[in-house]
Amino acid sequence: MAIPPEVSSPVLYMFGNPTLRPQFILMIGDDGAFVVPHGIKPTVEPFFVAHDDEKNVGIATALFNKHPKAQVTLFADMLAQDFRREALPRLNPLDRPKLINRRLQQAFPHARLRASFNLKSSRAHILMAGLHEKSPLFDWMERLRHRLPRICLLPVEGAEIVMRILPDAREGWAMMLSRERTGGFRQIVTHQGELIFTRLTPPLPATAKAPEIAEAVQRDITASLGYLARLGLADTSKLRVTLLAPDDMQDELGEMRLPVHSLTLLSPHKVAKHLRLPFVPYGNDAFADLVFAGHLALKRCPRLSLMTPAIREAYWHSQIKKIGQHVAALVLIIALGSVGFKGSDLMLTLLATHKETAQLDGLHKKLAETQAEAAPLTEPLGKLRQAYERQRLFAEPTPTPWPALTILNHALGDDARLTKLTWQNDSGKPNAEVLQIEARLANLAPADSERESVMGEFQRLTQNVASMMPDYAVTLSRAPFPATPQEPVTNETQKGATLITAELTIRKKTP
Amino acid sequence: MNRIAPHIFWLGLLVCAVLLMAISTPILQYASEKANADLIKVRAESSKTSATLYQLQDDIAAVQKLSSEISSAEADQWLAPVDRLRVASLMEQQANETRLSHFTYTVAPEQRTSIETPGAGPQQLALSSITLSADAALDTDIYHFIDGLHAALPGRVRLQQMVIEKNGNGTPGSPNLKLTATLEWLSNGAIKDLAGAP
Repeated sequence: MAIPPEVSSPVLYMFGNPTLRPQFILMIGDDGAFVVPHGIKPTVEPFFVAHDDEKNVGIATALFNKHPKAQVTLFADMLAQDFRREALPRLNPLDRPKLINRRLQQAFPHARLRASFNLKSSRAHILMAGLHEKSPLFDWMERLRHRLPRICLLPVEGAEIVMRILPDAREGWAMMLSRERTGGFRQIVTHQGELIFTRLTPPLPATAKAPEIAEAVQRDITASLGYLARLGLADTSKLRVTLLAPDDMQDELGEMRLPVHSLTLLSPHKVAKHLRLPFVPYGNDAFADLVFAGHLALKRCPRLSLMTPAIREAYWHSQIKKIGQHVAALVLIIALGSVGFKGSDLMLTLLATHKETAQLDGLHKKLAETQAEAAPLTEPLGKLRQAYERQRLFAEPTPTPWPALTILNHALGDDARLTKLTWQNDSGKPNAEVLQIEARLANLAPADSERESVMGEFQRLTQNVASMMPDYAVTLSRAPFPATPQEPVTNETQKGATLITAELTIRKKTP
Repeated sequence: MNRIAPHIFWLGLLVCAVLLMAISTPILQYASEKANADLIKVRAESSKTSATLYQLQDDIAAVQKLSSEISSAEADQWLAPVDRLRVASLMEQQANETRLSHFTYTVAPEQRTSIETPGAGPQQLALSSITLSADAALDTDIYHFIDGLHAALPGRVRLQQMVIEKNGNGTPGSPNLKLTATLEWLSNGAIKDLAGAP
């Protein structure tokens, strides 16, 4: 077994992406399957199962059944897979899939599964892949049919490893050669980061020595170089080659003379550590199975995923069922939440109503008791209020002439005597008070009086009254003698006119 | 049918959830609206009852306060209807007391009037105009007479117009002043008919 005890410890498994779901990766080659569990608790070490080893197949199947929710990925590393790069004309989105299907059919007429994907480097090119019917992979697929396994192709996914190991491979040509337990020597050739060619050569015996291996590797690479010329690699000196080989073989492999740009030798152990993969092979492990499995385990979506129509249909059913269950559960939760929210709102309202009703009953009871107790008291309330208001109303002070008359009395003094007094306040408002007086001069005999002097006396009297009554407007409304142009002037004594009087109008000023 | 079979459970669950929401929403809405309306009604009644109770308590306090200011007998007096003949005799008595002579008067028919009061609302009262004339020896007699009317007549008397005119020759002791006056008399009003209805 290639996995050292410390590598398989849970601590080193933490290199894996913990958010990815548990899965089994079955690397299936022509010689057997390499079962790589990832994220399985308790931790299970990867193990090899020969196709004809019924016992180990049973153990693997039991392990799968023990973890029914773990995803199963069949990682194809067999000879019976073909790839072809095709250029497509510019088509509308509806016609393009039809053309691709036709090309797939033409390219792989005898394949059981066919698929393609768009190349990142060129939208006009696709890479087509086909899996042949006679392959042990399909035996495993039938065996694990109920687990709806997906099929990934090692050369397709491994092309990304080439790019990660050799960053310069993004721009030019690169080749990675590795040795797998399940098949043999796998060459993956990329151009501008995309798979352009792959080749699997049969494994050497386990007892093969380093020189023998180096010779086989050199022969394989040389053979591939001739073929790559047809794919556009005119100058092999542009090809960068990486060999995944253990450290103890690197001396022999390093002595190879190849007409390439560079030859890099890396052990699978170093590659796994460099790429921070969840599985790290022994330092002297010659096989790179775990490098590919680890790379696939970290990917959320493989570059190309194949399924048989029946499994794809079942897969979609399962996906629809899963999504449908989530949606139904979500809608049910929303419905229950809505009912709960509205129901709680209703309950709160009902409780509040109940509480208010109880309080209202209490108030009614209290009101009835208070009314019964207060009836004898409050019965005369209306009468008392009315009487109180009537008393207040009747006691309201009304305007009287006395203040004005008192001041007037002081103002007139001994100089004048009233012959007529008229006081009037129709509206009852304090500023509506009007006083009209007719006055005569106290020390004046009518016969010998000088008119100008009398007039002057009355004017002085008027001014005196006005000064004594500042809140009133005082006017001489009728002079003692005719004073206007409309009045006749005569020296005849008028009938009944025994006194010389004048009239003053005293009106309350508006504030 | 086989294609649908795996989805029956979640489809049923989804339909149930949708139905639950569709049915419960209007029912709960209706119930909630009704409950809210009931609550508003109860609260309004509660508020009204509280107000009545507070009013009653205010009334009790008012009765206690008013009772200290005005007794029931006094209230009856303040609200009693006036006797217009008695008012006439009061005026005559007042004229005699203030030595007025040739005293004549006219108390005009009552006119009903309503006066708004802050404590007891509108008060229905009677308004009458009183015109009077008399002769007096001194103006002070006239002033005492007017003041006496203010004090003696029930209700409220307001002087509207007063004319004092000298009409004699000024012989001391003889009535040489002529009074004519108009007063507004606000009262509870007299009994309307002989049966005693106000």
